[in-house]
Amino acid sequence: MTDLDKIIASLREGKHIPEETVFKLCLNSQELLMNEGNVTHVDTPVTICGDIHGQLHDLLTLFEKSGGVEKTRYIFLGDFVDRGFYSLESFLLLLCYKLRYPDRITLIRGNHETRQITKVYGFYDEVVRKYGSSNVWRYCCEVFDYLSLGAIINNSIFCVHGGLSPDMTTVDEIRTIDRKQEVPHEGAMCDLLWSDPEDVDTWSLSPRGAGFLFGKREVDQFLEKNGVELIARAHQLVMEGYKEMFDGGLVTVWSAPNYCYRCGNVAAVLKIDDDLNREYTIFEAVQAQNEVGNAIIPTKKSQMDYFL
Amino acid sequence: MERIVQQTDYDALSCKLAAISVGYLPSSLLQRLPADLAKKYVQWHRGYLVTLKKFCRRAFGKVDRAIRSSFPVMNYGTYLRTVGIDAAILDYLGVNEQVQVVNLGCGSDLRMLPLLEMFPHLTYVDIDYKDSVQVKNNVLRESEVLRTFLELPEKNTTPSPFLIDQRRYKLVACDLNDITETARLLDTCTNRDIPTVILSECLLCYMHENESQLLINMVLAKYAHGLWISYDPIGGSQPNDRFGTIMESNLKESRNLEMPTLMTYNSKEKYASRWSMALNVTVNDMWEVFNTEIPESERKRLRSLQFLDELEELKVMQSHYILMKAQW
Repeated sequence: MTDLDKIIASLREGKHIPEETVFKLCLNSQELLMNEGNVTHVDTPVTICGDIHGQLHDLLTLFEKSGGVEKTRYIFLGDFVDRGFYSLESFLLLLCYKLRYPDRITLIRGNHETRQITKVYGFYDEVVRKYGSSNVWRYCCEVFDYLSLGAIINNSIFCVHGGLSPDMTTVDEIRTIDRKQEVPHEGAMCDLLWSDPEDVDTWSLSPRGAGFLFGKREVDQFLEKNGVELIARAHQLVMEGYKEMFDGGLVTVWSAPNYCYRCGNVAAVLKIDDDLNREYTIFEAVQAQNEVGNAIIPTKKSQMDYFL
Repeated sequence: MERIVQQTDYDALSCKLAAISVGYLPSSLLQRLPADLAKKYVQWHRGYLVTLKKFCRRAFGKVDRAIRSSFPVMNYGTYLRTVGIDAAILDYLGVNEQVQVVNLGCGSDLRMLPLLEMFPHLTYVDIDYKDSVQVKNNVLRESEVLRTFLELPEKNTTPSPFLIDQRRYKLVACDLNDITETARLLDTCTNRDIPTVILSECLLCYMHENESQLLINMVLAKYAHGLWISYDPIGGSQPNDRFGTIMESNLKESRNLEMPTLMTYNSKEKYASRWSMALNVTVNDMWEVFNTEIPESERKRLRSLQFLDELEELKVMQSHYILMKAQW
């Protein structure tokens, strides 16, 4: 068993990983990711996964239900961290898989993989709680800066976390972005991570405060101009796990079941076969306790997550 | 159970202080606060928290921690709840000269302060469990900014259950499950013949079906005219909607808190059916309030405060809380 396999086994059990180990993992990941383009090429068959948000146990279910990284190729569309209780373990597990099986897993940056957002939405606090300092958070943020911005499957399916940008309408333009930086508050790199599809006639202001809303017209133009048939993205909670829009030209995939342990939604992954057929797999959240009543998910939450 | 319900007041306080600290509240526009009152609004709430430390260190610690880690989705919800209720009160106070407000289950809520200042003919009654109003009484008398505004003597000289018994503001200890005692105290400290605003903000959700209905019936029979404003969660009534059952089990597991009627009054219509004897009943979920009552200038202001990471989550949550207005 290699060191990496041992770390993977520990992570799967949610065990503490020493700071030096995290440092090494992050450094190795950076070296690996550095050589990837902004838009990575991926071959079929491949399974596309949406937001994870630190729900480690549900991530394990995801692998279980979809074949596992030993057998299947995966694209993760970002938002590995924040909100859930195991952001660190979830992100590190994905990094370990990436290091162990570099050709079988592609990691794309989400809007939560930034210093600013993780400080507000829980990852920073989680690291400080688990390590007593923010070092590990800093190592992870360095890795965030090297994550790809998108992927393209068989030159036919464009994968991105959020959506489109009015500033860059071709994949070739996206390849020219200098991505190795904190996500800016505006511009193409920001939009790719923040934008949402909506029934709008043209580019519109996003209620999130970053990115844009785009409609069928923008999607059709993008598909046509880039010779692709589908945009696969995540970024938005879908109660049914996935949602196709614009005559099937765009799909949202959401992979965090019972989001924030509160929303009651199911999750989905999307498998693309060699003929580009789409097959969705739906899965539910793990129970809060195992069969003998031990807590899998901590129930004593520090957050006030209902209005009382 | 009484103590567990009382603790929820600190959640409400945490949420409000968090929303204030980031700038969601106050909303000068929707709470109709002139500049000096908006400034005071912040001072009053900060003063309350700082003074709370002297009386309940643990509660203070809990609130203080919670304020620093409040998610934008919670701040939005607190904002909606606060401005939604305030707008309903202000509309009613604006058209009635002589008027009283009764806040049932008031906890540490401070909305009486701006209202007393804005409406010189208003009288205001805060009612809650004895333990809750005792803390509130201590804090109001200890904090200089609050004591000065209310013109309160530092020492409490009024006999229980009237911890504060001023001409325009009363703070009353009462278990609202005890319908006879509640009716008796309301007779003592309110006027049945003047228009009355009854406020219940996350109160009825903790009561049992029978007790809450008795309370509603008693109040509607007692006052000649009034407006009942109620804010509560609803469990959801759609076939695939699991929000309510998950909420029940989360609250039960994490703090042993129960909401006996969450799934009984699980839709807007069922919730409002308890006021069927009122003349005019409207009920909206808070997602509708967000989409219909918050003008674009306010939305723009909110967007500038924090990035909202997930709009759909806001929708899921806010469509499970309602604002009900029953006029009679």
